[in-house]
Amino acid sequence: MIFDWRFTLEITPMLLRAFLVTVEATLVGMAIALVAGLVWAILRRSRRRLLTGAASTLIEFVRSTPLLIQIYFIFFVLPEFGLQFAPLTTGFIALGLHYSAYTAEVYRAGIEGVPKGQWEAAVALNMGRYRMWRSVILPQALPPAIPALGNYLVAMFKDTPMLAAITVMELLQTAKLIGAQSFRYLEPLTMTGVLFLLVSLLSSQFIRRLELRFAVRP
Amino acid sequence: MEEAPIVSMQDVRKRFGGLDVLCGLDLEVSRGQKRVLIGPSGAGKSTVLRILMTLEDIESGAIRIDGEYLWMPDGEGKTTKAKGEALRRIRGKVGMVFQHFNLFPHMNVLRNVCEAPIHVLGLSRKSVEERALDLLDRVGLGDKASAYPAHLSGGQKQRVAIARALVMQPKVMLFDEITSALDPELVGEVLGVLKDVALKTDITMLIVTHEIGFAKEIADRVAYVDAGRILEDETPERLLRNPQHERTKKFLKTVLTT
Amino acid sequence: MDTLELMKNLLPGLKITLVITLSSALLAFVAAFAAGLARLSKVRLLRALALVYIDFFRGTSALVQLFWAYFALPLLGIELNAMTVGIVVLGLNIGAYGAEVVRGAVQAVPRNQWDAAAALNFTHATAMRRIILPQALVAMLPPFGNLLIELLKSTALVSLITLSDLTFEAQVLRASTLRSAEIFIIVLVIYFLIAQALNQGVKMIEKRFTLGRDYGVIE
Ligand SMILES: Nc1ncnc2c1ncn2[C@@H]1O[C@H](COP(=O)(O)OP(=O)(O)OP(=O)(O)O)[C@@H](O)[C@H]1O
Ligand SMILES: [Mg+2]
Repeated sequence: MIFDWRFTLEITPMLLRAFLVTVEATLVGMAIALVAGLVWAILRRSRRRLLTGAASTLIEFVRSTPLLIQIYFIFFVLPEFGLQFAPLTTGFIALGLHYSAYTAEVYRAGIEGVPKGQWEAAVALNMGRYRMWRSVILPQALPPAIPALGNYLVAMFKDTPMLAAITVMELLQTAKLIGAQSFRYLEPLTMTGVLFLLVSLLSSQFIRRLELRFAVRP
Repeated sequence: MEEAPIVSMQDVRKRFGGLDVLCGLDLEVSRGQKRVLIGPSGAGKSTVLRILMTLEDIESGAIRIDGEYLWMPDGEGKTTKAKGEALRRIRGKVGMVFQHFNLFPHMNVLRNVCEAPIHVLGLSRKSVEERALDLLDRVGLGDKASAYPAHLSGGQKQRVAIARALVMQPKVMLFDEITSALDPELVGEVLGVLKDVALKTDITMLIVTHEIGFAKEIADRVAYVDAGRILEDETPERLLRNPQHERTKKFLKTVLTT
Repeated sequence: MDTLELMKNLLPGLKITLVITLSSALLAFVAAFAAGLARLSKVRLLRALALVYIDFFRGTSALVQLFWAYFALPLLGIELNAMTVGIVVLGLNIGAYGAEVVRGAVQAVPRNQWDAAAALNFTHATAMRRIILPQALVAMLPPFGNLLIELLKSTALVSLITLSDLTFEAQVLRASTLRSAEIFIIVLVIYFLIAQALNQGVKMIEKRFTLGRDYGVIE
């Protein structure tokens, strides 16, 4: 038979360990994307034209250029300016910043969904900027954004293999190394695909549930 | 000597796009006065209140609240808005109740009322909650403190909104058609609360309403606004019995017959 | 080497990037309609096949798919050159996302349009082609535009299966000149400009389609 099950079993522990790196990159990247995206979204609501303009252009730029090159940029260019990061850290930053451009849009939709009267009530109660965002706007803007954020979490998870390009030992890079050493690419790469498929299918089920949960607001 | 007015608007102009909404409007409200604004739809009544609440900017004119400039003219036709600390201080003297309540849907009634005094005025939670519960009692909602806005009737929501504005202890309260989004059978309970506030406090009140009968009961003065100007400004008896302008007569006729 | 010369060196890569983008876009378009409509078919088998295709390509990562097709597939006796792998895999990958767009847009056309077509004695197929799809198409265009940008971005991945596209050439140039800042900024800007051009293109098509129409604008 072409597919060697014993070999598959042999390499499984290695792949699972690499899978943990993939998960780690996804989670840390998403944490960065969640925070940075919120900062972009709030900057875009600023009253300073220059600031909103700059934030919008930056978001558009990051969204429409390849993540792979952004990864290279952080990995190869930033060290020239004295900013050197380990490959995995580079991965965290690149994934986080790239997806912050998407989460910013999600937040924006959520923020724009808060009725104008809510902002006005906050002003009428003499709330400052911080208090208004903290007490009034974000608690209403964030819950509806959760399903879309979940979708981007899965999308980011599927983009982590790009970190192989800068030698991060995540799932795909590990599979490739196993392949190169054993001259058997079929099993490790198939296993990699299967792992991605499993996680993606399970998470999209979960997100569908989130959508139902947050579809109707109280 | 007569006391300085708490609200003074002089020659205020406001445009929306190409539309002149306020065309040199003058208005003075003395301390403790209950002033009612009436007038046809689109006359600019809401705009007046929203400007005083700092929700809208103006093109020119002077506005002072409790002696401080909210909009200060430079003498050459330009006018600048108070900023930073001054703006916050002026805003703190004004409170507003909106036509559509604008309660915070994610907070229960008690938190709706307590959020600002705790976090804006920096008062202790305990004292604020005590006062909030008192106020809720006064507007007849002592038992609804832990309910969420979605579970209240329109009249109840509006009464919470009144309590929420009152708890900030503003010197001037603005009411913009606070009963016009309500089912007819709920109007009475809200007007009752409003009347209670009008009679038992010395808060200056600016009330936009179509309830002429109610205006007559509580107003010290009624101003008739039309096309961005105040056309008549009188005691309710005189304005209602003996309007000077044709347009005022026509307006009163339509509202009194419907 | 001055900046202009750097750019000149990137040109062949740019050409490959454009070729891959356009060819796989074409494939994606066809796949999206085939699978999207199959998802709505009355034939169960078609529905199931479409679902498997969509879930498979959406559920596994594009780069993993490229690697699998390039490194593992030959072991099953199917050997394709890198160019073919790039175009087919990326086309099918984006096509799977597009299929969901097609399905959603068709489903969003109001029920009464089907009824009206039936009342005029249209067959199901004719109704779909003449009545439903033209309306659905208007709603598909903006998400298709987004997918086109995603496709452009994902073409950078083919550099990892030895195809000398723009990204690949940039890496080669970086290794030989060590002027990484300049090179990568140029390349980022090029991708950005292509994306803007694609955006404008889609917007123009959108205008054409929505001209004088008050229908099909499904949120
Ligand atoms: N945000 C806005 N943008 C453009 N025009 C506006 C805006 N707000 C108000 N207007 C216009 O300004 C004019 C005055 O509006 P305003 O709401 O002050 O009237 P009003 O006297 O309160 O009327 P109503 O009795 O209908 O509430 C109207 O013609 C209105 O269309
Ligand atoms: Mg009004």
